[in-house]
Amino acid sequence: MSIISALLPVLGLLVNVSVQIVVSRAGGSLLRSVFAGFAAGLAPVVYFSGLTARLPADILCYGALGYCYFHFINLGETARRIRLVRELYTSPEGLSETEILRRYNSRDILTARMARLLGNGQLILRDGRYFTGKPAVLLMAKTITSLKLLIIGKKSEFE
Amino acid sequence: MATLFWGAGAFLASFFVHLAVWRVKLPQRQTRALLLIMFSFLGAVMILLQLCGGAIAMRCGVPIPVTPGDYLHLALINISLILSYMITYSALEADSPSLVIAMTVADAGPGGIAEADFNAFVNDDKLVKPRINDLLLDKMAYTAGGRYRLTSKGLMFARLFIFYRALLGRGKGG
Repeated sequence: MSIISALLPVLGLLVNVSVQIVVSRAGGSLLRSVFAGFAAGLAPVVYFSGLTARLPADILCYGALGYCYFHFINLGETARRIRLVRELYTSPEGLSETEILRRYNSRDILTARMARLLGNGQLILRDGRYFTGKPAVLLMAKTITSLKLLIIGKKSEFE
Repeated sequence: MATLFWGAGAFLASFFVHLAVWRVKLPQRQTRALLLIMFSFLGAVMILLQLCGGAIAMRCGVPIPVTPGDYLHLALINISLILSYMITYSALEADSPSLVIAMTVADAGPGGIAEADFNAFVNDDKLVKPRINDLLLDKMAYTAGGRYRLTSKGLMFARLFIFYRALLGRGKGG
């Protein structure tokens, strides 16, 4: 295999990133832009690999890189650490804990997540009470909890 | 096929070693320990294949990488799997608020749960302060005179995400 040919999954990732940025900037939802980018990047990987023995390896590698890129975007969207870093960045003189909590606190976190979960139908609000809607996030939560038990040996960071 | 076999194989072997190490003692800086274990395996496999790849192929009948391109492909497969795992692992280290909400609602059963009941787990001590401590632990921030400031690593992260969010045309996030 030539060096250029070995870099095919990276080429796929570059296509993925470019298309995702264009779709996101065009006003598409973040999730839709991620799907569009992933599909666009997969096409050259499958086309140039052809139906050969290397196709599974290229798809695995491209899939893993695409998964990393999705999480990179997701970090900017939802990660509390990144939000805290951004708050500190805008205050070169530093922030006390009280000041940080005034700018970003558990109430903000809950409000943003509830809006997201209700917006995409994962939760349903009826008569002032919340119920499970679509099962995707719940399934993800159960999977993550099982992995936590298997790998770290506890269900929560607070155990 | 050789690159998939050795690239994914090295990842799987390093994953089991990481599981064994974690069973004995959870490292304080888990991400760093994980990177060390997984990249050491990649290095070891590359050296092993360079030194005695031919003998392995003869004795065990397994395919081995031959060209520099094969080795690059092997490394790419392995590194992409390591990065995917690292990013998944970060979700295991800290409790995600969205996933905790989903589990809490499901655990409440068919009667559902009132918003006020979320107050039991939604507070700054659980959702924000541990993440502030993570910034110190990961050397992204430091404290001086009771104030938190970014280190050069923290500044780099902040600039990267600010740039990227602007590129995507998105807001602050979080």
